[in-house]
Amino acid sequence: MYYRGAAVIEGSQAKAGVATSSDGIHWTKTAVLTMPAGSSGWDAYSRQVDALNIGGVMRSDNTYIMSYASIKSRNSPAQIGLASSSDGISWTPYPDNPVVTYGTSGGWDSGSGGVGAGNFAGSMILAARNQYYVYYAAQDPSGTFTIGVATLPLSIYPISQTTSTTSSSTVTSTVTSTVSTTSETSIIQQTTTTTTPVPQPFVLGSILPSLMIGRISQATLLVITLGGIFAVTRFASKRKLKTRGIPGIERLDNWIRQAGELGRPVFFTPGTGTIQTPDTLAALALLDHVASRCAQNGVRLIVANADFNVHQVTADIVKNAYKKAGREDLYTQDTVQYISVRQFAYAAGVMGLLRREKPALNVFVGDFQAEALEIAEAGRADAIAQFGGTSNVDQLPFFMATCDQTLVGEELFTAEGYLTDDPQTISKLVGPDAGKVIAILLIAAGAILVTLGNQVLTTLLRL
Amino acid sequence: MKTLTSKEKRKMTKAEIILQIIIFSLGFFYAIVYYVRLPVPVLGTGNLQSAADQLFTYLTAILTGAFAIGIINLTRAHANNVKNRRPIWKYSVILLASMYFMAVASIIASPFSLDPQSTVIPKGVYAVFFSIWQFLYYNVLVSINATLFSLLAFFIASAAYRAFKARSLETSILLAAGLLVIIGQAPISNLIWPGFGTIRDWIMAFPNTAGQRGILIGAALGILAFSVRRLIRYPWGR
Repeated sequence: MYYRGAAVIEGSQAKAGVATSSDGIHWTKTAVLTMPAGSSGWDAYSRQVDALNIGGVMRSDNTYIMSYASIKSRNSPAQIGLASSSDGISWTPYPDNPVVTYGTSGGWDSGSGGVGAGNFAGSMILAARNQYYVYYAAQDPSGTFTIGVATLPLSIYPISQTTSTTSSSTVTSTVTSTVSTTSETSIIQQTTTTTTPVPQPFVLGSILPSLMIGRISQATLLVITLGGIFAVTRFASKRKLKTRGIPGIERLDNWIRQAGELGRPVFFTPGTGTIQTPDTLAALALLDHVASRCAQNGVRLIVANADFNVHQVTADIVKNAYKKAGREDLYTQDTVQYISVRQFAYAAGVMGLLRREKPALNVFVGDFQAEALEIAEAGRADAIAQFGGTSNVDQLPFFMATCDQTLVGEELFTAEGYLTDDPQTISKLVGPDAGKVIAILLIAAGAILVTLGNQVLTTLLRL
Repeated sequence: MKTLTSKEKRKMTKAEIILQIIIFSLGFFYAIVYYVRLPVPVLGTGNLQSAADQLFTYLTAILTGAFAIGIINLTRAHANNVKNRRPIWKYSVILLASMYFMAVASIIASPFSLDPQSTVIPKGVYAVFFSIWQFLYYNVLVSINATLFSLLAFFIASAAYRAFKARSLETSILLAAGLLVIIGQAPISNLIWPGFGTIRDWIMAFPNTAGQRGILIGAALGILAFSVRRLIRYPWGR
């Protein structure tokens, strides 16, 4: 028997194990399943934390085939992949996973957002009629579970009992089945279309077809976009350009100056994200500016971190800023503090710091979860000014309600450009804007085409 | 206020150039892995995807080393509090004592124990530390965590009170929409008027979803542009 379990510890990840029994009643645990750790792709987060949300396992000859759910990042919906094994314990993922992706937004298998692997609560795989069937339970935005089925070509893992009739490199299959209602939330009623690229055997001289497998449309589009960005950046760097300005961002420097006049510190935290989180990286770029201004105005800066890698980088940024301004005397070991990786321990630590240090300006910019409101409300009780910013739409309302100035979504990623007069830096903002124009045109074209019933663009750019 | 001028910028140092080359190469490598499927062995690690996985494992291992630095920072900061008898020094003693005691208890006897089968550690010692660990985890940590989480209810109320003041047309619309959603969400709303539920669903499904998607699409495009900038330019300290 294959089973799934996790330690009775908050935050523990699900793992899969094997148990054997001679009578089907008394079971002995024999091994924990293993899969190569780390990934850059669809299952990056699950593999990073070494989680294995096993679905079902089937056996054919000496090959075991497993369906399992994984997530790309902490808050992304789950998708289903396949893996194979010769002993049923050490598994190798199928290279072109995921084989079942989450559905279009709002649909029955779109997930409710932030639900992780719970989106695809379970799956099973079986082979019949010259194809694989993957049955899976998925969640819609209201949290209702529905069972669906996806079909895959046998050529993914050829098995001897049946003959695969598929020879093309890409197979699109659709299946619809209707079964009578068994309960309110478990109805097999959906249609699923799965496009699965099939890897070609590598033959010397046929490298070009190998390169063509998979995401070639996206790669082409990316190259065109990067070319556009580069060209526009070059063009813009030779001209004196003005930015339209984000209302209120100019006040940041004034607040820092005021903190210097009041003799009170400035507080900065990049939130609970890791060094791989885009919001955190954007926050670090803004910290560079805040630290420089603090150093120039002789203001003490306090930085609180929840991630130990982010802690290292923030310490480096702040130290360099004070060094550059010749104010190394202001940098002490209390300047950049590591609080805790645990969400609410971090929140408690930050709230304590705000209460004790009474900063004149609080800057909460980066990746925040539920703790956002707690620290922003605590800060509001004492602080003169608060500056917030995140792209997390669930936490943005809290920052809007508690901060004097909030960077909303995209503004967070362009803030550094609005704090400079340097044409080179501004041109680097204008260049990527060209990429955004291309993306916006594609979104508009896709929306119009889909409304008219044409799937060309969505099919072309599908992952 | 526009502040940073081109005069303030300096040339990249050699170390920064090397770092930038590493950043760009790694970014480019992972982009290649994403877009290209080469089923050929690379450096004896299987295909390109496996090589990327191996590299990611090494990078994760290196990054995990920074955890020790975080602990050292925490220890030094709070040890200083104690040494200098700062006003909060008593809390620092509690923090340091509980952190290290919990670490030792976890290593000896917990689901993360180095000797979960108690083959080396005597069973009696294991049992004592396991009960201590259980007490600290379930009776202290989980309870404190739940307490802090529940504080959110009060913070939401005070933040909502400030946000829902009809100071302008926008805040008045927000106030009206918020009230309708709150009433529609309340169990009693159906008894008052069934239409409240419909209005709530409409507000959540259309204006709310449209606004959220606008922010999400903007943020996604911002991340795309930001990532490109990060790959071609040393991110900070210039």
